[in-house]
Amino acid sequence: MRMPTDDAVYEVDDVFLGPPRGTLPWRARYQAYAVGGVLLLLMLITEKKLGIIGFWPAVYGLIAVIGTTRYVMRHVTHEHTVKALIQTFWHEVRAHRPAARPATTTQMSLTSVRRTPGH
Amino acid sequence: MKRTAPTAPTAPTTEDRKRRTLIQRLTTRQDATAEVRSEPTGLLLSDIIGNLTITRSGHVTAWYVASPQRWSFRTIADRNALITAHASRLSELTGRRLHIRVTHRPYPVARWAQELDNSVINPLPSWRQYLAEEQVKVARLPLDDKIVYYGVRVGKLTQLGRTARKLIGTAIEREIAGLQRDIGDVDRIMAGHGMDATPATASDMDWLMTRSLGLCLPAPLDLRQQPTDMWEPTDLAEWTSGIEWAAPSPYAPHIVVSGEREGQPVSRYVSVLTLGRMELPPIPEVSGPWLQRLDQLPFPYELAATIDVRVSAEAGDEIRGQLAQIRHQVRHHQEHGVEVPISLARQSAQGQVIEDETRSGPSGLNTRIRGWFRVAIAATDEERLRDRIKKVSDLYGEHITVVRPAGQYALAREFIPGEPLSTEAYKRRMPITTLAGSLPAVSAAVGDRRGFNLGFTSGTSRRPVMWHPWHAQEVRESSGLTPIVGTLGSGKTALGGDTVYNTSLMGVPWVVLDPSGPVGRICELPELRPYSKAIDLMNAEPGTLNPFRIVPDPERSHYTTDQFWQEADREAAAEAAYRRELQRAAGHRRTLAVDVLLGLLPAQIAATPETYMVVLKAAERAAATAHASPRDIIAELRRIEGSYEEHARNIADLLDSAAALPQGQLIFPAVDAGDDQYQTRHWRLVVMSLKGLSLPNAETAREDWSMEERYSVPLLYLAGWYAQRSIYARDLHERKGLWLDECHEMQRVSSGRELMRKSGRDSRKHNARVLLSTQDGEDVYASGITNWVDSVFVGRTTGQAAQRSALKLLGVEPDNGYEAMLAELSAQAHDAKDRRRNREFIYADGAGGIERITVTINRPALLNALDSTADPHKSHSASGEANPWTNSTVQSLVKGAR
Repeated sequence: MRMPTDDAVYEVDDVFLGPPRGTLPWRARYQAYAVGGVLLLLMLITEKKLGIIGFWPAVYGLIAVIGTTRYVMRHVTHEHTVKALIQTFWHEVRAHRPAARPATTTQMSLTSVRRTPGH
Repeated sequence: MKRTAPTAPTAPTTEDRKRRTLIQRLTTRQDATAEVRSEPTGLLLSDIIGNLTITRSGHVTAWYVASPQRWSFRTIADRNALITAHASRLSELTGRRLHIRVTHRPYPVARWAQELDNSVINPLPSWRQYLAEEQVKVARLPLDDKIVYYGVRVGKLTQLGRTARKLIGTAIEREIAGLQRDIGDVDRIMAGHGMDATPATASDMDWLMTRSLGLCLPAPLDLRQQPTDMWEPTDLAEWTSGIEWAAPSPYAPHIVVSGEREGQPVSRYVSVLTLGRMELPPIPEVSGPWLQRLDQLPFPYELAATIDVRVSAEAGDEIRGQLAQIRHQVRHHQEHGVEVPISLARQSAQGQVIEDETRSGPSGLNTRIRGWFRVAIAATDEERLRDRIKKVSDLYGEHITVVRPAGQYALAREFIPGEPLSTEAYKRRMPITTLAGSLPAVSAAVGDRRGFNLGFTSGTSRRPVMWHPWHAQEVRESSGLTPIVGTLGSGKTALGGDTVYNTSLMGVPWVVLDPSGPVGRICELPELRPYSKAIDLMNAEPGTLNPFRIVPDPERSHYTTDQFWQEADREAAAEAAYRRELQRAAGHRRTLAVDVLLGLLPAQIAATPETYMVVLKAAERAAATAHASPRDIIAELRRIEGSYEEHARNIADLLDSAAALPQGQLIFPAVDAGDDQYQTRHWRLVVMSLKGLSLPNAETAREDWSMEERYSVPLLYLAGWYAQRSIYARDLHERKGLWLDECHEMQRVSSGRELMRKSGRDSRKHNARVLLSTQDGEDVYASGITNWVDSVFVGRTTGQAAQRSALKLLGVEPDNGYEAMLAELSAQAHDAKDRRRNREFIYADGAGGIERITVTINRPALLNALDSTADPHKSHSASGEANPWTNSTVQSLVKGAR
């Protein structure tokens, strides 16, 4: 019996080549533009908050955003989406770390469990 | 705190309590959650009621345990049918979330040893030492049971009761009734063929929680016997107390799970792997079930899969969206005059097929799933963990990409019932039939847990194989006949000898007929020497193999009235049965004597109807008691008158000449020697050999047999009868063993076939395990003993006919590719020593299990004793003294000549 999977159909390389009659010299996925846009926005807000305003800061910021976007997109695949990347980051931040000294108390408690009637 | 199941006779039923708890759960949710929210590390699980788990968000999941399914040695059609049945059951769960959770329940080696020790009666003095050594050997193999849990989400409790508890009483009743109806439907689906799962018991749920919260920690040994089916907070806290999960650093490749087992602190490095891109080969034609393949890992693993069984329309919509995306990409590339990637055309074609399937595929099986498959692997250190992860990757090779993603802590929590999916990454989408091809419940169980260790399974996984040869008769009430089939050098002697050795130490008396002689060397092993005796029948007293003496009369004491409890007159029935058996014994003697005498005659004379008639007539006239002699038949031959008188006299003369030969003297006694069973009765192991007997080649026609070969065949089956009568000399209930080697010659004559039938027929009643070694499974069929066959061992078998009959004997349908496997058994080891130590067989245990096993003999002394392979270094000529060119006299002569 054949054991096919649908994996291949979901591996479409969804690239944006540029506007009509304006092919860009690079190939990037739509997601990369979205990620880059968000990062650019964050960078501009940060610069504004820090009071770094001007042409060159914007240029350097843009270069940094492009670099960061490329780095991020290297970890974004059909299997591992941007959403999953953020989720993983969040999980890693929230993960329980080992106690400095040997644990004496319950770390993963089930105190949320209700007492059932009759017991 | 020890939990006990409610025992009060007036206690409400589980169903009542379930219902009451569910209602209370609905109406008091608000009070409970207040406390929950204050606990930052609390689990989502809030209640366990019977086999139901309920989360804080109100999701109810029903848990089931799947029965092990057999895969090995089934036909392709049977395997396909199993996959289709599994797919049908899965498709009935459309719209639900399904969890698959595979864990293991270890079987402590100490417990196996204890139970084996309890089962032995009067073991030999070296038993204790043997048992300790076996424990060490068995401990190297995983002696545990795989448990496959299915969790099916059956509904969600809306929390209407929070706000208007008194006003919506009827709404709650309706909700509970709907939920119970839903649970009933799922129960029915899960019990169906292909899934064969039953609702998890309190003990199963207890184990699931234990293994999930102490993920990959060693299993606790002190299991509760009667855990409750309603879990209290203190009960659950018992499992969590002292357990700590921790991620050593951000993006660490593993977590550390620490806890306590048997009062000792333990910790494990745990990595959670996820199954990525799949390119599965056809199943079952090329490969086995893809999740069951994990059983081949030589270390423990845990599996957690979260699966959404999708509605076809929803899956169709998604694929149409994907097709639109593909079309857009094609247009986009064309718009820019850029070459369209070939992959887009391929993806488009595949997408259209899938879209078509979701609309018009076979009813029920056109649905698709999306799932996340996680495998948890643990080790005591990081280095070993890396090695184990590599082994998982190697196991799946190019078929499945195995990934170790980041976010290990959250991924590991997915193994706990009720916990959510940590991330949607590595989502697998596939047809329901592909998921059905995973068959996690397939098991390689064979043998029992009670007996000695034979070796390990070497087919779909590596598990120890135990065999208690008397379990079938004592518990399953089955017969005790075990054919060992295989070509020359397949290891029949090694297997039989190993069985005899192990069970002799257990205290079971054995009688072995070993025509060629190697098994007699077991009697020389120090632990068996004082209790065993090797008898060379070729040098025995004249008349030892007298065909009349070797068929014993039945013991009257074996026919007790309690065996005839259905009869009105039990005493009379017992007496009648005894008389019948007496007559049957006389008949056996007569048949045996006729066969022996005909066998001693040249083939051309023996084959004539006149010869058969006169010998038969003479045998009928002669006495057939246990004290009679074949000489009485010769005497009767001389008394025959009429047209055959001369022929009868000639036959009598020929038989007289045969009786004068040394081999003939074993058959024809000079005087009645009486009962000689004292020679075997008091020994634990008696090996009878016929050293020097030259048996004819199986391919040689009877007409071409030499005189020596002609005499050897009757001696062989007479020796078989001689050995077999030992069964009747012992107590009816006493365990006993009989091993008849080289049985293929016996089935050629009626008395030989009768010997095999009688051995099989009486094996249950006399609690005997009878091993019959033969080169061809067809011999077993020809002897008509298949009704009494309990378990079967098949070693290397060549030749199409022999392979077909061996498979038939195993209960395996021929022409499914297993013939080639029979020819390959024991062929992998290039090293001769290794091959001798490890012999491969196909073992059908008589209880439904059938697997390829490797019989291991780790004891050098036993291995040497059973080694029948030619070794020039063992010959006398290999010693210096035997070599004429190193002889001291020759050396001095050579020196003198110089």
